[in-house]
Amino acid sequence: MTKEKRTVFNLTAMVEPAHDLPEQWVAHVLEFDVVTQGDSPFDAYRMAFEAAMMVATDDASEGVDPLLRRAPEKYWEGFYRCMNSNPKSVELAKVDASDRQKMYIIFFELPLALRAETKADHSTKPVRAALSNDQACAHP
Amino acid sequence: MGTKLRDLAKAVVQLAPDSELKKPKSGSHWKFVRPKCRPYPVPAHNGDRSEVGDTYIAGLCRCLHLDHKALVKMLSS
Repeated sequence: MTKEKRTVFNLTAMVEPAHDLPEQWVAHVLEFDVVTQGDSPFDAYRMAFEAAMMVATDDASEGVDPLLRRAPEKYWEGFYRCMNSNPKSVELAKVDASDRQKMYIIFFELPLALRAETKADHSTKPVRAALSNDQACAHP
Repeated sequence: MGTKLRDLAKAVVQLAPDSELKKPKSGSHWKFVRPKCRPYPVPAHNGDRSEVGDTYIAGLCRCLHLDHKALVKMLSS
């Protein structure tokens, strides 16, 4: 009999314009300390989901907990500052990628089904997205 | 200014000869691997012509235990 274990990671991605790459957005998944990039905030989120999935499956196949990768505290402080600045909810797929004065916090779930061979459930719907302006949420 | 992935891969291997850039068959990410470190995804939409920024490079250095300053210096030389 194949043993199967299902788990869901609740993750947070900070998405902001790349300061050194025009038209690129950087996404940082704080719980896994994984950074990736995309052409828009939504693309950066999709890339973050894929990168997080890669990390979780790699770690699961090695029997290690991906949450132990957690980002250094200075990145979490940026997240806390942002959350304390009264951010508003937005629909991520509709945001204007040319407005590079904004940063986004995205909360999403990463469902994972682990068997003898690890398999992933690829659903990419963000649970909630929060928006804040740069004055209140400068990255550390 | 960003760094081309091929230049980054060269510099990483120069700095840590036991590291390697792997290209999975599917997905938009490749990954850097190094013994005793966890694999780290690489955004590679445009293959080795993809450009990555400093925030990404800093994250890579944390994961692969590389000296960020030394890597940046190597990339700028």
